[in-house]
Amino acid sequence: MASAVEPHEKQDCGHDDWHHEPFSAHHFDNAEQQFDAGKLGIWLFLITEVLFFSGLFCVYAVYRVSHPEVFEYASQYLNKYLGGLNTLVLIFSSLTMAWAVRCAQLGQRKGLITMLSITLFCAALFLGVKTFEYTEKAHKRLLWAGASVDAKDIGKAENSQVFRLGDPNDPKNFKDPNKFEERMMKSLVTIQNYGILSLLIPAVLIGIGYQRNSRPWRTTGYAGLISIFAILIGIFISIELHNMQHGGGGHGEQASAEHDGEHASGSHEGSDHDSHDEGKAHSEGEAHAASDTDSADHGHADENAAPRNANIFFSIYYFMTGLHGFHIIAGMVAITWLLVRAVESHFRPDYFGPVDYVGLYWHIVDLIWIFLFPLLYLIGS
Amino acid sequence: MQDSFFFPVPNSTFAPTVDGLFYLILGISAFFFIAIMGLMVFFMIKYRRIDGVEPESSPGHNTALELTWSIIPVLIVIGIFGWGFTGYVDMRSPPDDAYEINVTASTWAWDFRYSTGAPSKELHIPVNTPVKLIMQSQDVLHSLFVPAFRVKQDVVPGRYSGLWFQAKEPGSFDLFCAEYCGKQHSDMITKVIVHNTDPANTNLNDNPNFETWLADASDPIKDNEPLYESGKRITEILACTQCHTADGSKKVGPSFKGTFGTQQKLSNGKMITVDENYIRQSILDPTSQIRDGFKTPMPSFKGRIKDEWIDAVIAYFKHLKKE
Amino acid sequence: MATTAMPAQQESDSNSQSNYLTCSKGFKSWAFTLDHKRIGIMYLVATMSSMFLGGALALILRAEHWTPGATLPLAKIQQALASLIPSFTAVTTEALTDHDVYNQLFTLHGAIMVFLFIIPSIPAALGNFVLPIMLGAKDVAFPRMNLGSFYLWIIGFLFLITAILTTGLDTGWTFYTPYSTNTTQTSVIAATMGAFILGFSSIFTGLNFIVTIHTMRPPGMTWFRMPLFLWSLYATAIIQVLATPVLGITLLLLAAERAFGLGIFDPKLGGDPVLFQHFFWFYSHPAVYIMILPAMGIISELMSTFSRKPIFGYRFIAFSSMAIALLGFLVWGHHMFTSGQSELVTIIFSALTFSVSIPSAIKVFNWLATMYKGSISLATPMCYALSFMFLFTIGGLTGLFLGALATDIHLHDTYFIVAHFHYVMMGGTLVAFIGGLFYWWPKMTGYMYNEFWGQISALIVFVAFNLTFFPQFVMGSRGMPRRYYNYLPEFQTYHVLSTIGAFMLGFGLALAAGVLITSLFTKRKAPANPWGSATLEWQCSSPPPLANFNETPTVGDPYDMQSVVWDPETESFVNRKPEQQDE
Repeated sequence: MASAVEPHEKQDCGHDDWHHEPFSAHHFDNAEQQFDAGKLGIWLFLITEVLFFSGLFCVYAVYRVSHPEVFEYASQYLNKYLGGLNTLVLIFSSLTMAWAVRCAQLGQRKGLITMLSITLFCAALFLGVKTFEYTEKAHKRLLWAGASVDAKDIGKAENSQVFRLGDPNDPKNFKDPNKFEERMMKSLVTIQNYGILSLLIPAVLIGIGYQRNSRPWRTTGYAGLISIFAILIGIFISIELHNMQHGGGGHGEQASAEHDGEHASGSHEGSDHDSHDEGKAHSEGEAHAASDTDSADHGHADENAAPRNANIFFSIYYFMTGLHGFHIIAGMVAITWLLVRAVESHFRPDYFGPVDYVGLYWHIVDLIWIFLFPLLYLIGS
Repeated sequence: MQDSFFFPVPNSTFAPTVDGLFYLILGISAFFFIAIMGLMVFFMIKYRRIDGVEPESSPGHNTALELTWSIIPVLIVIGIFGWGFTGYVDMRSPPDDAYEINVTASTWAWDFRYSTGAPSKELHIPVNTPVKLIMQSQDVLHSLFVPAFRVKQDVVPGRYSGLWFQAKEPGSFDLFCAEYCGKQHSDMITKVIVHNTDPANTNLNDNPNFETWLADASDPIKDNEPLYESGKRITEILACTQCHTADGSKKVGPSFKGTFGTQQKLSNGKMITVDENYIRQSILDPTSQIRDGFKTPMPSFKGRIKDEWIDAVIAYFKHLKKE
Repeated sequence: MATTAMPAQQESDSNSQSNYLTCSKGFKSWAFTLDHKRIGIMYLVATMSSMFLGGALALILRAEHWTPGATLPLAKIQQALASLIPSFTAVTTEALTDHDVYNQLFTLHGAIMVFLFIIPSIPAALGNFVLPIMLGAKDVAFPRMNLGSFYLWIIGFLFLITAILTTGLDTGWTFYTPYSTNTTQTSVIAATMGAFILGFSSIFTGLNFIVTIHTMRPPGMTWFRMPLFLWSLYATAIIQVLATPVLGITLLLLAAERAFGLGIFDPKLGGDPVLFQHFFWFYSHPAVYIMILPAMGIISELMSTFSRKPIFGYRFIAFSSMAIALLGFLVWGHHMFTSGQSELVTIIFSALTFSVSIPSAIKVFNWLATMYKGSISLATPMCYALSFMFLFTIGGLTGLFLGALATDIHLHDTYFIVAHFHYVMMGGTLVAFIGGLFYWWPKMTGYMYNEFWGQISALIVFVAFNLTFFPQFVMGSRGMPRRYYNYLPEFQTYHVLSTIGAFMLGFGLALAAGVLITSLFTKRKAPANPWGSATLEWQCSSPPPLANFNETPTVGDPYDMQSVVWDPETESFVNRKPEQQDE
């Protein structure tokens, strides 16, 4: 929230005095001082962002050192190809953002609008891919540590119920690997349907914009249109990529790893139920690893089984990528705001601070992902 | 051994180091404090404002002076650090032959368990013997603090923490929980009983030697005595007597005396008869049936008390009724 | 050279000309103001209200300790209060015991005082008002962000109040896991989100100050012509910007741990509760310097002004602020000597801890040297400043006992710690804050307060403070653990003394507030420069005009006391005539 609001706070200072000297706030001596102040401000803000994430990288480092086997094991459940796609998308968006700053400096209004729109599209595409990844993991029960544990098992007070997606002990949640694809697709279709439905919102905005003859409303509407559209495309691409890996026979390393996991639980299902009860709990899941804290030796005995506390990896994964995703959304809001102002021709070669500041913010968000991607997706054998 | 203005009775091998360092820092601090305050008050009077008189000019800085009062404190704190460091290293280096006691902290009680299996609610230790505590927590953070020994160590759930000390004199000392652990944090206190090691002191009622106490605590039920005597001993070993009396008066909990066989009202309004089953239930799951008028819940003794011990306690209740 | 308006002219100007208080009226003109002075005043009212709320809780705590067992029927009082608020009774299903209420009281006392009062008090209230004027700027660099930070404070305050009004909070202000994540049934999430938002409020204030000091200095205001209060605010702002994000992420992780069970801090899910302590103190130790550094800045101003002497060793003081800010990041582990962190780490932290004591010592010596050969006035602000010297020196020196490993093991988590940090936080920060408030009050409001009663309040606060907290040192070293509802009877004498002192202290602070508030009604006009300070905020009228300076001020040496002389006609200090100054 803070980051979404902050760039506005910072650069909006001048609105009172628009008519005299566009966008220069009264308390600054001159435009140069104002630009310098804004620039220093945004750099300081970026430092706080980096420190904010550095706390999480510390958590990552601490657990990576103390539980290396967890990271080695659990990271194979992340899809490198989707992660890689997202990395490329973000790097490309950084390029377009830098290009947008250049356009603003040169006073090229059309170039600026185009580049900002592409950046916005990329940001939303990233979110689309992420939506697919989260949905897939939710259906595979690859969730954070507490998601598969009853509140009272970890000594939580009764009224501080741990949030869970469904009942972890409900067998239909993960026992049937064949139906997993089906269920996941069903969820994705639902998400897509809602996405298409939500296109109404930008449509209404555009409508209002035309009716009132207001460019800012229209621009906001178009920005929303681009975003939702890109999210849908992101989901679609991810599904295609997923199907290529699984259906098309050309198994990547990743795909086979996933299949191993699924087959393991599947084969147990077919075999002796009673005697392998404990082992099954482990092999079908990572999801169960944390709940069976006292039967750790079972886990180590079985090669395929998840190491103890494997879900800590997913706790870290969800928290870090979730927070990063939140920053992407904040960035999209900021870019939309820039688009509105760019359409209004606010930016000139002698006044382009806001584009510069949001650009810097966007680069830092990309940079964080560039650290996240190898640390989460590319570890393990 | 005497307590002093700043300290309780010093009763461990660490106490001289800690107290000595404390008094050293106190001396240095007092010197600087008096010097600074003395000068301040002197300046306040000497250079008080007199209307129309402008202050004399004096230098705005003096590098030599400023360096002096930067470097002298540096040297002093290095010295203090050195002493504190050596004292700390001692505290963290238990001798190999230390006598080990397992400690389990839970909200809001301490449980001590000896190698013989003897349980205890108070920490009984032999005098002049290095003792090492191996501590674990069942729920939240706790911290074991014995002011007389000048030791403290947090007890962290999910790992063992260690603590060692060597008491110098027999006696009874306070043991506190020092890390906030919820509602009854301030009631999580018990005693450290330092026993002598004199083989002649075998009288259980008058500070026995450690071996005698341990044998007694390990097997409180003696063959050649009435069962109720054993029951009485068990209530002492498990520190029931901290909250319950045997003379009919109310303490934190109801008295042992004059309750067995009577009708009592529970906090939920129901009436029950205090019989064998009620006593057993109250020991194993105390919060299920709390008597009216008693708020503070008793910790459960489930898994910490053997069935024969409960029998003995019940016998003791019956005996008190007869008296 | 320094040619602001002539005093006589100024006097008549202030009648005809509008100042920042009178230039516009109505609720909106305050609620949407971008003026740093008005925002500072709003912060002042807000933080002072929090202080009296936290103080009232402290008095209840002290009263409870009059006897070893239960003294006040806390649970009944709580129920009676709760019944006044219908929504409250609806949520509180379970009857609380006296123990619970006590634990909530000390938690809320700590949380309110730390997050709502001490951290924002000097930088956001006094700093906001004074910083741009002292610097010679028209406003802070980002006025909208400044207002935004105030509203973030309000939102954070509302979250904390929500926590109090629903199920309370009983984790201690430190939120230690796993108690905070698993055991307690109180509103930890609402409270942590409140603290999270207050953190952002603090970050924005700090960010604003850094940018303002870097980019808004007028010509002539070089780094080494900045008053030391600005140096200390600058050092503070650096800590705010660098340390607070870590608190933010820690609190987010804590809330997620409680709501979802992340397993990062929960040993039952494979997490490590000591890791939380490291995270928490990585912020909260530097936060101690967020609290004390601005106070030191105020004292530098007061010592110099009221001794009519240039501050002794300007550069040493300026650099020691920066040194404290940087070293402050390296010593967080000294809160955890008994927590079970490794021995080596503990020893390193102990050594680093001692290093941070040196810059503080340097400052005390420099303040003392400033008084030497001065012309010392015992006006109310100076009384508080001298009181600060006494209390802060004790607070600092007792830190040595806690930095040394062997003694800290014994003293940790006892009342010795409680006394130590109250001597620093309250005897240091609060006393300096009140001193600063008395100092800048004429500038902020345009009115002079009653000097005699101001001095009396300083005396009462000083005596009562020592009576309250000195006994706590003794009971702490005798083994009284902190956060205890019941205590052993042997400690009762100390507790009774402390309680008597606390109520006297409450009276003293109320008196100080009364003296200030009364001045608003007696309306004795304040001159532009009543104290004879040479810093820029005294060059504009009292209260300052909306744009601070009607013409760009000329910047000179902030501690050149000879540049201002007493003018009996206007009862104010005025700039020495140019020809006099040039000689």
